[in-house]
Formats: sequence, structure tokens, C-alpha cells
Amino acid sequence: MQSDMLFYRKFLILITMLVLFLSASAQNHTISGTIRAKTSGETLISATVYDVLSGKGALTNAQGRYSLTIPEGQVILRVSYVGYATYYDTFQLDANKEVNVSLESSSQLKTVTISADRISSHKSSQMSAIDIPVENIKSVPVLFGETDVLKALQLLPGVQSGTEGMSGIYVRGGGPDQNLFLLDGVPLYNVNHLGGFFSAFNADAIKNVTLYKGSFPAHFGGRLSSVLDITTNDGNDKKLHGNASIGVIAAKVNLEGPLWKDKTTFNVSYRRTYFDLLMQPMIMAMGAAVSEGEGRTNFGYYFYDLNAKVTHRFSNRSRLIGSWYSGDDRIYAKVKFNGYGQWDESMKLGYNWGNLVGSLRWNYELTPKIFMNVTGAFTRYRNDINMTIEENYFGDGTSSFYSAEMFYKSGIRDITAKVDFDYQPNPDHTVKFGAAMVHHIFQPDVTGNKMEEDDGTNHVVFDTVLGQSIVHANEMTMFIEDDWTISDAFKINAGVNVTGFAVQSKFYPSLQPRLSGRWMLSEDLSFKAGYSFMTQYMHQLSNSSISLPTDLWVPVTARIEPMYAHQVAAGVFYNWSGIAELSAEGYYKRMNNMIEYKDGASFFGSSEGWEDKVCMGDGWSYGLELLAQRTVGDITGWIGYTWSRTMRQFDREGQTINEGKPFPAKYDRRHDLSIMVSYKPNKEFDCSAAWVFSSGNVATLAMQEFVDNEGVGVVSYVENRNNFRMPPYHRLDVGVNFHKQKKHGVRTWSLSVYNLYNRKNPFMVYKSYGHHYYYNGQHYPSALMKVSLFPIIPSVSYSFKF
Amino acid sequence: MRILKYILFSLLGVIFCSCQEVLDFDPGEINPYPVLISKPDSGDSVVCVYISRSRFFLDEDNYPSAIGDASVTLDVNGNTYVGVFDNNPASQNYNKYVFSVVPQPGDSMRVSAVVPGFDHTVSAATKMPVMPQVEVTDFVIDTNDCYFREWDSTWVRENYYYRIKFRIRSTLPKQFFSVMASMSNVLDENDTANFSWDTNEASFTYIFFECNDPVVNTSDIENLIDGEASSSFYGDNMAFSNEMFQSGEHEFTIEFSQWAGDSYGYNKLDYSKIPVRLFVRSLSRDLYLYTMTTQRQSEADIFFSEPVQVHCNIDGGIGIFGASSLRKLSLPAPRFEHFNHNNSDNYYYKKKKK
Repeated sequence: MQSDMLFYRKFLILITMLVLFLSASAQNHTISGTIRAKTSGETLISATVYDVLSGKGALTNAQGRYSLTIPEGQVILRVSYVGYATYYDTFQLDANKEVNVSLESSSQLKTVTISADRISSHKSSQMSAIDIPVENIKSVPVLFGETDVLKALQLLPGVQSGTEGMSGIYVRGGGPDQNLFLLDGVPLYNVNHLGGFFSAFNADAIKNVTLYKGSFPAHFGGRLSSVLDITTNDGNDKKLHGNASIGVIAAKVNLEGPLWKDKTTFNVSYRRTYFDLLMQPMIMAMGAAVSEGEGRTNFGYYFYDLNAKVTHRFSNRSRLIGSWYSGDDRIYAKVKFNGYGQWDESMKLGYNWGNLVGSLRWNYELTPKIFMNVTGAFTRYRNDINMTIEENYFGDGTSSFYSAEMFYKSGIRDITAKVDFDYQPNPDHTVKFGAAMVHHIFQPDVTGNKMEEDDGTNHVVFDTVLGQSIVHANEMTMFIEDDWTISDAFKINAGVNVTGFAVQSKFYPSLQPRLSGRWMLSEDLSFKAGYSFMTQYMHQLSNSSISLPTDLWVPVTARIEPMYAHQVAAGVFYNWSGIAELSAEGYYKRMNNMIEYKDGASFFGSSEGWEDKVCMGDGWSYGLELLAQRTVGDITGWIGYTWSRTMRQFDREGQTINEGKPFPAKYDRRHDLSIMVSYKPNKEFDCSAAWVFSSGNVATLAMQEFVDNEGVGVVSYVENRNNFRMPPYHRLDVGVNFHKQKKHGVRTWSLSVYNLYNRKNPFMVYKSYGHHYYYNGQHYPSALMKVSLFPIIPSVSYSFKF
Repeated sequence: MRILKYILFSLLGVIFCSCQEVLDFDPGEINPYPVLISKPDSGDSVVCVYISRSRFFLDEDNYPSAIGDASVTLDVNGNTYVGVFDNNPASQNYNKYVFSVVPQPGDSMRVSAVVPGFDHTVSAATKMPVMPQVEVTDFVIDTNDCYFREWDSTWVRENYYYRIKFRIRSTLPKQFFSVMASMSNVLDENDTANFSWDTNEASFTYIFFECNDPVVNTSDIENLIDGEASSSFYGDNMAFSNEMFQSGEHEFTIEFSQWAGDSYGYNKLDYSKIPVRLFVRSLSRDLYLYTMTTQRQSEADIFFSEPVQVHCNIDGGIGIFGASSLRKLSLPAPRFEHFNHNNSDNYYYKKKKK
């Protein structure tokens, strides 16, 4: 413990020295302010603020604030943001000055795809990161026409989907639990609905999405493979706006506007599937028919998402933001039966799983150069099942009673306190530093049973609760990073993230250096390289390709150590005349202390003895990612291609898998290609198409069988884990939107077709005894069956925006 | 409209067509392996080796039969023996190569086979493990329950609860064991157990027993899945390693129960006269891993777990060449009080008394 204290003391001294050094170099005046959209008052993230004369510039932060310190004298300030008219202002700078700008939406510019103009992405020191404007996410044709952030991300190089139709993402060889999903800075643990077919992010509530695949800035940590940073809309501060839509699966409504003009805004979005509501009359009628009018039946499934955000601006320097998200999947059933006056019985089932996130954030500008952000947050994932059964008999003069109640609970809760600062001492440095404390409460699984029976003579009561005790853990984080422009050609982002995790009387410290740099080879061509070290203190127990609500989050323990990963990446980035961006990135990632299930082990939602069911081992992944994207014009889109290889090796004593030999990871795919094209000739019509192709998933199949006639029988022989590769995956999705200006707003009809040419992509394979297989004249009494999930699926939706 | 209707119906037909089909792939790329199975036991009179070939997993009609024209040799401590194929269907070693050597604990053995159809030699090595050190520390039988038919007053069955404690002592840093138990299900005309140690005899019956020892449970995947406190074992499947008790000694408790006294004449055995037989084996590492993985394979869930890789140790083929040393213990039934149903609070019995 003493060495831990020494470790943190050294780190604090380092931070203090760095801040003093940077402050000493700042002697000029500072221009600061907020950049907003004029029509909505929404703050703009990563807008460019640039002084043409000095050649110095800055980007707005997540709250739309910027700070630019430049020499005294004449200033020609240029503010630009994708999709908005560029703003110019000329003034004499002789003292610190606040310049707040509201940019007008530009009708001249066409829709721009991934990555914005900003300080064009090839000039940024950040690599392995992609910003996606939400409008682009909405233009990607998807399953059942339901806009999905994660499925749009799956079309990008370095990001792979799991199995057919699933929202899970696998980034650069990492597992699905190695992605950090941040909703307004607060982690979300289960990001899926309906077993992973839909993600929990309602695009109507989202302002900005940024995915980091590597070269992570030091202010992020906690997961090995990616960070998905999602910012929700603050709400229009001028007038009430909204939009409502109804599709094949879900209906959505979004409302935003001022509560107190120019001071307080709100934004509320709600999405719900409605299939269960439509089915209710039919279910009830069927129930009544089956029970001959003596009973009632009601059951169904739905999911919903509720996003709400209230922003109050005390002044241009001070804002308070409260945000809320709750999203649940629910299965419900109620059955009641009256037994012709002799008895009655009822059954009630409720199965709920989902997230709840609440946060309160205060943004305050301490000085024009220092911006503070204080956050208190609560996040919870729960998986609850409740079932009650009641039976009453009262027919023959006697009465008896029976009731049973069962519950199952599991989940995780986090309470977070965080403070972070943006400090821009001069235009060459943008420093971020801060600290956070997270208290995790893990409730792996608890089952309760209560039974009561009375037959008139005996009264029996049974009440028990079984399961694992709650585990408390504390995670502490400190970070500092500096985005440093060394010269016009060289720029680096250097930082360190220091964490500690205390659980079960064990403390795991970790110092994670991060470094990325950019070298401008010419005005349009840059070379970037980066290194990051990441540590992860929790695992998700799941061993199916479907995201199940029973997948449990568990902390590292005294036996199971934290996962960590080293990743290096390098690439070239080219801006082609401002209309297209080309990039080629290579990466190598080494992951340690990964867990994988022992042969034959599975969980079914029980975490009992989970440490004995897993092996610890290592993994590595390397690959090349190519991206070409056209960003302006009627036709926009991108072509992304990834060549990669992802391996695992579990060769530790007593924890071997595949006899300790390396084997391909479950989602190891050599080739992954996606082509996304969007065409928008006018305001009334737009269309898009996306084609994806990837190498098939791997699976473990016992290709040979032998007979052990000494008491065992037929034995299936597996030569290697993941030894069978399924056929390649490919499909084409298309979508068209018809917009029309109406008296009170714009209505849009959207038609889309998923898997247009009806490719039967393999979801899983299994051996079937009921089918025959013929190959080259040879007959086999069994066959290997391929199960596909989604054939061609058309969908339609209607929306109205006012 | 008619065209639109045709388009719509065609589309619906495609949508609802089967989402499952036979996967086309080339089985010709998958070649069979020679298979060698041999598990010599120190209690055996001879060593036997079974040679066959594996089959393609879809080719289920093709039951892999024994290969009788292979050339098989066995080397024991430097002495070479030639295997003789036993093709007598009445023989206990039918379809196996038999070597006229009786292995002893500590013997080093190597088997080699040239199998027709394969252009390489198949071989494997093992060492006869030392005999296990076992001591029975407690054996009790309790009868505290009986079962009555509700509709008459006939006493139907009495239940015997068995609890056996035994201690295993390590003699090497790494040792592997398996335990099984058996009883006779036949009494002869003198009302005594007609019992054989031979598992092929009709009177030999394995016992399902319970053990809640974590030394065993931690290696029992199926038990972990269910999260139960104890697990049932049958045959040789209570296998464990002395690593679980730091290569020292450990006391195990196994429990089981037997019903007796059925009024229909079935299972009218008097268990007070029947001994329990305990078989404790010391296994070679390869045989231990093979036993564990074949068990896990048979118990694993098909859809929610990875298929189990069975451990093999045959160079140039698949199968197992693993040895064991067996210690047999016969435990006479201890004295016990028969169930006193007059004092019972048994629910059905109370009902009968009313």
C-alpha cells in the first residue's frame, strides 16, 4: 500500500510540474467562447476556430467551448463546422475576449459523410478514430428500417459484426466486452435490445458519435479495444421542435425546445416497439377461446428507450446539464383461469432487463483558458425475473391454497464522481487532466423462492434466498494529456492514464502511457503513429454469439487478474482536394489475461464458481485497414476494407485450451469489405445502398469420430478449436427516402430492403441426423446444416418532423 | 394491381422460405486417422490393444470396425512383445491385439503399430503408475425412512443410507486418481452376496454415489454449470488430481442410498449382508486427461458451450494409451438398526395410523 501511495504522489508531482511549465509559457491574450448552431442553439463539438493571421487554431470541446491564446494585435477569426456557413470576424485583440458564435446552416454544402471538415482529419494528431454525424447513421439502410448506431459502425474498417443481424461490435480483434460505450460520458453496460438485434441508442436523441479503435487519448480508459463516445442533443433553445416516426418494429417521438428561452432547454426522446400491443386483442381472444370463457390470457414482449436531457445556462461560462436514459426489454405474461366456480388459478411473469443512467454535470469556465467539468453519475444494469403462481380450491366444501413466488436478480451498479479540466495555455497546447472515482456494486446472481401451501390441515411455508453475495469494488482514475503542436509539421498527443482497482482486499494499480503523433508530409498528406496501453478490470461472462440478458459482468478477483493490451498503429492519411479522404492504417495489438471458457463449460446466467469455468490466456491481432470516403457532392459514401488476423493462445499451466496451441479467435476474419453509397440529388429524395462482404466466421467441429470399446463408446474428435470456417458472408441493403414539405413540417416516407438478393448467410452450423448429404457420388446419412436468420426483409417507415 | 399482387406474393414466398439448408462442403479434404485404444491395468493378466480407423463425422453408417491385419508391438522395460489379434467372438479380448505380458506398477511401456492404409507408424508411450495408498476411515449405514403405499397398510420399502469415508495419500508430487463403487444385486441360496470383482459378471452393479468434495467438484464441469453443492458419480468418472490437495493426503466422503423390501418381490435384498466394493485407481496423466475430457464431452451442452477436445496421446493417430494401477477394497456392511416405523413421523405412515 505504501508503494501505491508513492506511485500516486509521483504522478501528482508530474502533473503539477507540467501545468506550471505550460502556464509559464503563456503570455498572450485569450479568445474564448461557445460555438452553436443558430437555428437550434445546439452547441457544436469539434468546430474549428482559427486565426487567419497568426495561423493558430483550436477545436471546440464536448461542450462547444473553445479557448485560443494568441499574440496581441489584429485578428481575423474564422469559425467553421461541417454543414454550416463559415463565419469571419475581424477585431483588434488587446485583452482577453469572449467571442460566442452562432453558425448558420449552409444550404450550399451537401451532406458530408464520416469525419467532418474540422481541422481535416489528416491534420489531427488523433488516429484510429472516426466521427460519424448522426445524419449519416440515419442514411444507412438497416434491418427492419430501424436506425442503429452500432450497425452503422459495423460498416467501418476495423469494426466487425458478430453474427447475422447482431449489434455487437468486435474492434481490432477484441471481444464484445472490450468496448466502452459512453452515453454523455457515463458507461452503459448492456447496449442491446432483443438479444442484440437492436442497439440501445436511439438515433433521434444523438448529436455526435465518435469511435476510437486505438491510439486512445489518456482521458479514456477501462476497456481494451474501443471507446464509443456518444453525445446526446441538448435541445433547441429557440422554439419547440419535434419529430415522430413509426416503422415496422418501433414508434418514436422526439421533442425539444426551450423551457426558459436562451437559458434552459430540454430534449426528450422515446422509442417503443409496439408489436405486443397490436397482438393483444388476438392473444386475449385466443386465451378466452381456449379456456371456454373462463380465463384471461395476456402476454407479450417489448423494449423501450427513454432519453431526456435538461440544460440550464447560468451564463456563457456556466452550464448545468442533467441527463437521463432508461431502456428496458420486458417480457410479461398474465394468465388467469376460473375453474367453473370450483377453483381458480393465476400466473404472473415479469422479465425485465436493461439500463438506467442518470448524470448531473456542471460545466464552468474558471478562466478563459481553463474549463472545468464536474460530473456525478449513476448507471445500472439489471436483469430481473419475477414469477408468481396462485391456486385456490374451494369447490367441495373444503378450501385449499397454494402460492409460489420466484425471483432472480443480477446486475451491476456504478456511482461515479469525476472532475476534468480542459486547459489551453497557448495555441500549441491543449491539456486535459482530471480524476474520477467509481464505486462498482456487482450483484452476480441471486435467486429467491417462496412457497406457501395450506390444505386445510397442514400449513407449509418455504422461503429461501440463494446466490452470490454482492461484491463492492472501487476504481480510481487520474489522467493528463497534452495535444502539443511542436511545429507546423509535427504534432503529438502524449498522456498517461493512472488507475487503481480495489476488490476483495486486493489492489491492482496500472499506469497506462498513451502517445500518438502526426507528421505532415505535405499539405494534404500526413503520416501518423500511435501507441496505447489499456487495462480492463471487468469481464462479461457470455458464451453464445447472441447477446443474452443473462450475460453477467463480473469484476477481476484475487485469482482472475485484469486484462491489459498494448496496441501500436501507424498509417498514412491523404486529403484529396477537400472532396475525399483516403487512409491506410496498420495495427498490431497484444492482449493479455483474456478469459475464455473451458471446453464444455457454459453459464446459463449462473456465475457460481465462474473462476473455475474459465481459462486465462493471451491474444493478438494485426491487420491493415483501408478507407476511401467521398465527403461532398450529390454522391457520398465510403469503401472500407480490412485485412486482419486474430488469434488466441491459452497455454498456462492447468488452463490450456486447444492443448496450448494458438487458435483463431471466434470472429477472426481475413477479409472484411463494405461499400456504402448515398445519393441525394435534391431535398425531396435521397437513397443509399450498402454492400458488405466478409470471410465466414469460424466454428469448432469434430470432423472425425472414433470408437472406444472400453466403456466410452463413440468419441468425437476435435483437431483444433475453431477449425471450420463457414461460407463467406455478404449482403446488399438498399433504402430510399421521400421527403415532402408540409404546412407544419416535413414528412418522410422511408423504404428499405435488407438483404436484397436474399443471401442465406450462415448464423450457425450443426450436424443433423435427419438429413442426407451427397458429395461426388458419395452418400452420407447425416448432413451439416446451415441456419440463416434473415432472408430478404423489406420495411417501411413514416416520419414527420416539425 | 395484379402485377403488384404477384410481386408481393413472390416476395412473401421468398421471405418465408426455409432458413435452414444443407451446407455444401468438400469432405474429401478430411482424411481418417488410425485409432489406437489401450488402457492396461496392473490388475489385468495381459495387455490388449484395439486398432481401428476414425470415420468422417457425417458417415454414421460406417461403424469403424477393428483392424485385424496391423502389425503391433509392445515394448515393456526394453523387452519387445508381438501382439496377436484375437478374432474369437466368445473371447473377452475379441478384436484386440493381445500381449502376453502382465504389467506391474512402475513399468515403462511403448506401443507401436503399422496400420494398413496409413503410410506411417502409430506409437505411444506410458508408464504404469504406482499403486494408490488408500485407507477406509469410516463406513456407516443408517435407516431413517420408509415408504408406504397410501392405499393400503403394507409396508413397502425401507431406505438404507450409506456413508463411506476413505483417505487417499499421495506418494508422488503429481498423481491422478479415479474412484468407483459397486455392489452385488444377487444373493445366493445361502442368502449371501454372490459377488464378483469382474465387471463383466451379471452380479456386478455400479453404484451412483454422491460426493460434495470440492477437490472433485472443481474438476467437474457439469456440476459447476448447475452450481450444485454435490455431484453424482458413476463408474470411473469420479476422477481427480492430487494437485487439488497440494500433493498431500485427503479424506473423501461418498454417500448413496438403496431401497429394499419391495412387497412385489423386486429387490428384496437384505443389504446388511452385502459388502460394498471400492475401486481406487491411480491413473497415468494421459489416461486421467482422456477420462476427464471424454466425460465432459458427453455432458457438455451442444449449443451454449464450445465442443470438448478429447485428450489423445497417440503419435501419428488418435486414441489413448494410458495405464492405471487398481486397488480393490471390500467393505463388509457394518451393523445397523432397522427402521422403527412405530416412532416415525413419516407423513404417509401418520396417515395410515389415523
